[in-house]
Amino acid sequence: MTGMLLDGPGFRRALARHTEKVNRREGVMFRNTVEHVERSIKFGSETTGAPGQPVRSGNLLKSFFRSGSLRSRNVTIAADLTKAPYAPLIENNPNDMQLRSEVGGFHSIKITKINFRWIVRYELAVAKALVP
Amino acid sequence: MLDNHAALLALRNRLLTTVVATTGSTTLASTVDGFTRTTGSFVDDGFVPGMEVTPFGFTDNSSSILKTVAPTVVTVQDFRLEEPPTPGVSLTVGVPTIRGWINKEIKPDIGAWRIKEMFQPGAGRVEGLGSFVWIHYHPSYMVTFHGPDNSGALPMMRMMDSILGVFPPMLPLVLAGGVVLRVRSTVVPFASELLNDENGQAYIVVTVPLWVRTQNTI
Repeated sequence: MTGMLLDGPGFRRALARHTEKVNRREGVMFRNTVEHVERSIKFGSETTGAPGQPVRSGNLLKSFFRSGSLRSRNVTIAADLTKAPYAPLIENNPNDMQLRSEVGGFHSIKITKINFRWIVRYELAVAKALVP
Repeated sequence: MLDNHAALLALRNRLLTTVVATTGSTTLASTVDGFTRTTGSFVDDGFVPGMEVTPFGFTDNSSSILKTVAPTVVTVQDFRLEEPPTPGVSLTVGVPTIRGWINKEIKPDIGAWRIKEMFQPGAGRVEGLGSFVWIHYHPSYMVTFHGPDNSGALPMMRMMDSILGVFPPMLPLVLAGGVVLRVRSTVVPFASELLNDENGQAYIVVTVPLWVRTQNTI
């Protein structure tokens, strides 16, 4: 006969180890997901297809900030319009501005938002590898 | 592989079915500065000042922007040809008549409605192993429309709601070869807040997230 015998205390210990692993994975995954979202918006991501902002330095990039906390699993990433009042024009490009930058593009927040699911899938695979 | 142009045309044709407000086929007269009716109500039909109406069945079917709306009388911002009460005509508010389809230039006019589209083919991902596996794409269709200056939020919001209404989650759009483009349900279509562009004109962006699955060719 093959199999596994678990008594009461053994089962509780196994369950506790599993819970700890899931919690650690969830923590890693949440932190990496936040970083991935921020990277996708600012610099682009092959996972989401977002091009990132059409600059590599300056006020536009500095205007993006995080609020909330990783510990409470509640984070918002947004642009501070007092630092870059033109951020919505870069995001939405309402009048077909010509892209002159060699990097980035328009619509990165929207594209990141609609492909968020793929970020989560990607970061779940990463978390599973990091916390076996 | 996904035929992106076919997808774009299917989305555009769907967008063009947008009806924000309409009288339906009825009896209307045209005056020098608007339209009148004896039965029914322009208010109940959903017309509000600032909307762009397109007549159908009149001699002069050019579009106008509504200035005032009362149950039996609407006035417009430009002069129109006087026409007697005519049965079987209609007034409809649909997609703005100035349309900046992809790679077609339009001139911004802060006193007029206009719309432009953007199709983002989206990142793809292979699901599975082996030959002829499925490739999943998440394209998106973005529609930006501008309203006339100082027309208030109501006509803009009505346009936004109507465009969102023609792209309900899970809507299938069948392309050639049986490929089905669907409006996503994990992220449903959404709109931006009412924003102002560099000329101070109000605009809203409606984003339609999509999902399509095609088979690999090898």
